[in-house]
Amino acid sequence: MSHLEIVILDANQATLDEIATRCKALGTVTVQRVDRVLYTRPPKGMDALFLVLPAAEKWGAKPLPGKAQVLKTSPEDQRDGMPPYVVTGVVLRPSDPRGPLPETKMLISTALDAVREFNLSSDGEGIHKLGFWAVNLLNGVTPQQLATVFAEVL
Amino acid sequence: VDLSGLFNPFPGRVPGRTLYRAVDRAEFEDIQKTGKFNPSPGGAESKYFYPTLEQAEKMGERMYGEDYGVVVANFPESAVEGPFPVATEGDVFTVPNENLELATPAVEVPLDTPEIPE
Repeated sequence: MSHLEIVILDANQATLDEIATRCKALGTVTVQRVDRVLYTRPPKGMDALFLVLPAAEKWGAKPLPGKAQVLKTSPEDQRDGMPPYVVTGVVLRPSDPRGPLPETKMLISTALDAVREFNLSSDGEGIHKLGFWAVNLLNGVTPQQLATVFAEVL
Repeated sequence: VDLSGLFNPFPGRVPGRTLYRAVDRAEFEDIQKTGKFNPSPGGAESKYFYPTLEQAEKMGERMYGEDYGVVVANFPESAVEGPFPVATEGDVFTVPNENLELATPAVEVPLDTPEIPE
């Protein structure tokens, strides 16, 4: 997918350094340090932020099997620091493989599919900078494994 | 005839699904004031709940920092949708707005009283 930058957010610089090193060859994955991990207080400058389903409840996130959603935030949300869109997590289907690595791959691939679909149908500027909280990507997955997943799905 | 569903091993306690939810200060105070769950102001059709306290506390910390509480409620099974296995997060449940009043929330983790500056 061209024109999409992935920004991985965390408060731990060592974690970010490790991710940056492992993802360096990908080019489109960068890292950004925040003072603390607060889902709805990301740094400015992103078009969309990935949120796990319960964290996106406010924007009407539904538990859809196998499908992430792109949901618009309100002007008030944006004044409070949210980007224009959130991209939701995904519910696993019975046939989906379980475990940290396949579930992380599912999370990322469905989020990127939702962004691709949104950008194709969007008359506006689309989503070109998508943030992920590292805590959502490193649940039992190493930075090296994460880099491999991104290499497969980007 | 299968009567297994009628057996209640805990007499006096209604069988159902015990679920936890991390709430911000506004929702916590609304629950304290009304004694019930109310639909979210943003217009969401349902609310998300976790089957474990640990999951709810993790969500609370990541959503609200220290400024959150956890409430627990025992819903009738028929009021609950799920479990939904969320990738990397474990199971979650949802309760449609129209079923929220079918359980009475109780405080599991209280919300700290804000310090009043001198």
